Amino acid sequence: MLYDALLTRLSRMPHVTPIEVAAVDRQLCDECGLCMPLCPPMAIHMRREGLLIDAATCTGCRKCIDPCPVGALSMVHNPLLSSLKSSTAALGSPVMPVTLSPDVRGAPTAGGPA
Amino acid sequence: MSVLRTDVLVVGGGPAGLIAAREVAARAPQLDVVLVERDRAIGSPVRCGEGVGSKGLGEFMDPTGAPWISRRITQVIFWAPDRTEVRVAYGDVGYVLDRARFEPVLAAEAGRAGAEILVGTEVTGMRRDGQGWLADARGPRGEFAIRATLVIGADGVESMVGRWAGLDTRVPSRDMESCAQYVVSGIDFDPDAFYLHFGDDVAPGGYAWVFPKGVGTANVGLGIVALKGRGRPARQWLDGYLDTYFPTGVRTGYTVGGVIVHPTVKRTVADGVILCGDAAHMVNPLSGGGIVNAMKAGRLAAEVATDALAARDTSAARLQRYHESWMSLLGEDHLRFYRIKEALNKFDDGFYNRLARTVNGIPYEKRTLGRIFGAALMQHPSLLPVVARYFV
Repeated sequence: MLYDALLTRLSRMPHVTPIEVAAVDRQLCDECGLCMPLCPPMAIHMRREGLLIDAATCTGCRKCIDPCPVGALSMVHNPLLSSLKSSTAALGSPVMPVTLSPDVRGAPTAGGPA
Repeated sequence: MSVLRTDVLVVGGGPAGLIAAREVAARAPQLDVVLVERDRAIGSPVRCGEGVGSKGLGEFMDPTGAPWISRRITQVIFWAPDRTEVRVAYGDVGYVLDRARFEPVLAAEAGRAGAEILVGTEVTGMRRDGQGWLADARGPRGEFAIRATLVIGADGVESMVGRWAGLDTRVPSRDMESCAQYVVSGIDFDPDAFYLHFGDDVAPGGYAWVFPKGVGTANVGLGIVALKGRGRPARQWLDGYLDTYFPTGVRTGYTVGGVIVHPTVKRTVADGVILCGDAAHMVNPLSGGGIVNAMKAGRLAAEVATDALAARDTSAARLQRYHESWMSLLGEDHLRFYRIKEALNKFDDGFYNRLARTVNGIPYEKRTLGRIFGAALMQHPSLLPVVARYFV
C-alpha cells in the first residue's frame, strides 16, 4: 500500500509521466469491471460505450493487466508523452518519464525521455 | 435538465439492490424508492456460477417449485488435484439458480411493493447536496438528475458509488479471483452435486466448479489469482480445463468476471450512503459465494435506511449501525474465512491429494464435518495452524 501511495504521488508530480500506460482493447473487453477496483489511482471508468482508461491518471503500475480474464488490457506507449513534452518544454521545465514496474520493489527506475 | 426526487436511490439491480429496494418499499410505503440498473434487462447478462446454499435463500424467496431454480443440489463433491473424488454433505445442500429469471421476479416484487425500477439507466456521478445527494443519470430518454436523501450503493465489483462517497473499495490483486465460465451441454456428471476442483494446474489460487443446470448441462467455470496464473488469463485456463476434463462438451454460453475474496471494506457507510454486496466486498472469501450475503446486506441496509429516514438523520454516524450489524451477522466470519483461505494457500497439490485419501478412509455415511476435521488433523498435523486461525 505504501508502494501504491508512492506510485500515485509520483505520477501526479507534473514533471513525471509513465512511459507506458494501460489501454483496453474494446473488441476483447467484456465490460465485467474486474479491473476497476484493482486500479490504485482509480483511473479506470465504465461508460455505456465501454471501458475507459484515463491515461493522465494511470501510473503504469500494471496491476490491471494480468487479472483481466480475457486478456483485453495491455501496456501501450503513453499517448500524453508527445503532447506533454512540447507543453512542458514551452514552460521550461524538464520532462522525466519513468518506467514503473510492480516487480521492482525498490525505487522506481527513472528513464530518459522516450 | 429534469430532476427526479426520491427518498432512497438504489444503484444496481442485482440481489443486494433488489432486496434493499423491495424491503425499503415494504417497510415504509410512504417513502419513494428508485432503483437504477445500467444493463437493459434485470438479471442479464448472467455473470455468475449461480450456486447458492439452501439455508439463506429461503429467508428471502420460497424456492419450492419456483421457475427460477435450475436444479436442487443434495451433494458436494471435491476433486483433489489428481481428481480423487471426495463426496461430502448430503441432503439439503443448495440450488443452482436461473438468475436471468430470478432477478426479474425479485424486481417485480420490489415494483409491486412500490419501488420504481429504471432499466438501461446509469448513474455517471454524484455529489453531496445539502443533506442528500445529487446524482447525474443517463437513461433511454437522455440525461437527467436524481435528488436522493439516501443512496444505497449496490453497484457490484466496480462500486462507483463507494468511490464518489469517498469510501475505499479498492482490492489488492491477491484478493481478486479472475473468473471465466461456460455453460456446457452434453457432459457426464452427477446432476445433483456441486463439484469443486482444486489444484495448481487446475485453477491456481482458486478452484474450478461444475454447477448443474440440469442433466448433462452445467455451468463449468474457474477462478484464478492472476499473480499465480503464469501470465495466462482465466479464459485460457478454462479452455485448457474443458479440453482436459470435458472434451465432448458443447459450449453454449460464456461469461467472465471478478470475485472479490477480501474481507468487508473498513467503512461501508458514509453520510447518506450505504454500500451492499460485492460493492462492499461481502463475498465469502473462502467459497466465493455472494448472492445470499448480498441479499442479507440489502435487508440490513433497508432496515437501517428506513429508521434513519424516519429519524431525519442519515449521517454516517447514524448509519454506522448497518456496518456493525453486518459485521456481527457475517463480516466477522468472513475475516476468519479469509485467514483460513490464506493458510490453505500454503499447501501444495501433494498435500490435498493425501488429504482426499484420508477423508475417503472415513465411511461415507459417517462423513460429518467433525469427523472429517478430526481425521484430517490426526493424519496431517500441518493443518493445525489452519484450524488455529479460525479462533484467533
